[in-house]
Amino acid sequence: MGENLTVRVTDKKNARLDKFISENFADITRSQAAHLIEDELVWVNGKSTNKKYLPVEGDEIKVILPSEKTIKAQDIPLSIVYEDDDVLVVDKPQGMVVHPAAGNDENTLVNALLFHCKHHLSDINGEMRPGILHRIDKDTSGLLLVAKTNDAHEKLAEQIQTHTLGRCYMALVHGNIKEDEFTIDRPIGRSQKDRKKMAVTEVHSKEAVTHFRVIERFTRYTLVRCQLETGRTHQIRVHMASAGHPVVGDKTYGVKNEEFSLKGQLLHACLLGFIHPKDGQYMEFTSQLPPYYKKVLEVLGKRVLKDF
Amino acid sequence: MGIFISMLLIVGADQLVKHLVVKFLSTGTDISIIDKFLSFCYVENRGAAFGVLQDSRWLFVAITVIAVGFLVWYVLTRKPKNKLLCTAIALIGGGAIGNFIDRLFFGRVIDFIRLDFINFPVFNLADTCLTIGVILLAIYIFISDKKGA
Repeated sequence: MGENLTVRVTDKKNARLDKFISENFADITRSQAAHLIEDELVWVNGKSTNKKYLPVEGDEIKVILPSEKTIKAQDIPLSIVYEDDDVLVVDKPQGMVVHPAAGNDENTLVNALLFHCKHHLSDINGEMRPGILHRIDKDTSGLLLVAKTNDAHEKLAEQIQTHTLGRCYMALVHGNIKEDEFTIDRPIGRSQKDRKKMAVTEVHSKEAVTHFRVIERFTRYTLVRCQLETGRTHQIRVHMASAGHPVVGDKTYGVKNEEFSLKGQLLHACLLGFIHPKDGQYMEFTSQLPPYYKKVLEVLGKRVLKDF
Repeated sequence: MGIFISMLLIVGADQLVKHLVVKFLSTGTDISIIDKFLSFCYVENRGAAFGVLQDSRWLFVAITVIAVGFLVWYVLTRKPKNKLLCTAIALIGGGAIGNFIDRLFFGRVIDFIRLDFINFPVFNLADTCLTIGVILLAIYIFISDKKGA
């Protein structure tokens, strides 16, 4: 961890936390402050809070600045699906972390991208996340969009904001779902019981919407295609668990005794569609399910045949 | 005999309600009954009552068989007459069997009642009967203990 900065609030009336930090610490912009708050690197009286918090007189605000150590470029093989001067689409394997975080700054997708792109990546999102527009969980596999220039980053980020970026996932879930199509519209926020988990909650949560379509039914499992309308942390996993159909292999929100031995959830980002930031053309990419995923489906398919 | 008929009625009501829930509530859709207080939503639960201990199907099937077996044995041999005790036994037995049927035949229990004012797992009619039954039993034990002393 890097350097710490501390300030005590002396005014009665103050701007909200992110603005307050940018006004009181010369080198920190408001969006950087928001990122630091989100990463729980800003403590108010010893506790992390959210960016909308209004500091009151007497509060002690401590900012922990991540160390200036540059992220190492590493020669890790990548499956690049598409690349031009502005954007890159990569097929992330299960188990790979997208970007470095405190305590883990090697072997992430970002390390590999830095090597592959020779540092030609957007730098809007900070040093820890060059080029990164959106995340997919460590144990989720599939397509991820990367911005190589700041111009591309801004335009693509706007598509994420306005939900025009097309993202589809394939999830194998527990249980036999009765509907062919359904939508889950339940707000997601940090779990009150376990801060490391997300949960469907009305407290400090944001709207979250996922559309589901059943692709195939197995006796006790269902393969569903999930389309994200919003992109909250762990959205598909939390939404499916909230309906009693947790994603197979999910170590956080799933069942304890899985029948298949898996490294993580069977969740694959199979489709990515976006409007190219330069020429305005719509581009769409698809990705095949990884071999271990297909194998589980094959086993289930054979079992269904046997049941008849 | 009255206890067993009551138990069967509870089981019947629970199964009927679950059947209606499967038919009329869809996955992911929440129906608000009393705003910010009570809503209905369809959840398939793979654990015990109130969503705890996910995925231990056979353990719960076994526990239910033992518990219901004991209740039946108790009713047949001791022939309880106390109204409070009889109600408690009927509610506990009916609730347990209601969820047992789901667990045995489908490997999951249908839950649909959600309290929106507290952070509490989604539950169903059988859970409610079981809980009330246990509370009544506790009251009965408390009262008869005092009488005995």
